[in-house]
Amino acid sequence: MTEPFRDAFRAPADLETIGRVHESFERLAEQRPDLPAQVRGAFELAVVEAVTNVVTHSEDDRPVRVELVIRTTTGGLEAIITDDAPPADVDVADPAMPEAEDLAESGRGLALITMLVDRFEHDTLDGTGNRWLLALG
Amino acid sequence: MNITTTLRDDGVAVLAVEGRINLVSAPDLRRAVQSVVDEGSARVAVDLSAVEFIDSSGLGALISGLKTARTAGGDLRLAAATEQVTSVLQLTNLDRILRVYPSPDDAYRD
Repeated sequence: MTEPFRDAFRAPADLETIGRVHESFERLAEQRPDLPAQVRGAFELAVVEAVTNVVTHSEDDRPVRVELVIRTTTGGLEAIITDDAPPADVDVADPAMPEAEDLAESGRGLALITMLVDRFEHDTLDGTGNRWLLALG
Repeated sequence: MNITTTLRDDGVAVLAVEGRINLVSAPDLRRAVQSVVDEGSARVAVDLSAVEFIDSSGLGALISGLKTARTAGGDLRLAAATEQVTSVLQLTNLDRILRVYPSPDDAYRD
């Protein structure tokens, strides 16, 4: 029987936080070698995209803090990202992937997430932040 | 992320990238391409064989590099993409724009 995995941190939404996300997934790889690398890799990319979104949208505003919880579920993975930034005005239901030929240098993150996970949800927290849920399996 | 730049005799600049290309390292990759193009090597090959992870920020840096190289009359071509990189290029349809060659030596054979 494999042990459930849970990893969490709370930190300023800055570049160092991206490294912390990768470290969480390194621990996941160590503790749950039974998880296929492809599944873990797809989820790592989705979570990095979501945290990157929080970090890039907090740059020009007041300092933002972000909390990440990653855990295994029955047959899958779940991540909950909470930030204390102003409510984000985003559509996570069906974000469009930019046309490759337009050579846009950004704007692919949310579209990628929806392709990588089974559930992607965004809630605003009464004007005090945002909660992003990503789940696979 | 580490980048090792090699200027080949045929004028092609080979950038061998190692590690993760994400929000943290993408600016370094942009600067590395800009730097070789500024020095006169507009034909750039990016060796991705040691890249374990790329995200949309990393893709943005590759597109930036492609535009920089094309503006100078050259091109930016990818080589030896790992499974993760290949998959992300396909998901974003960028495999239509950023061609991947088996090795840096193959990138400018034509």
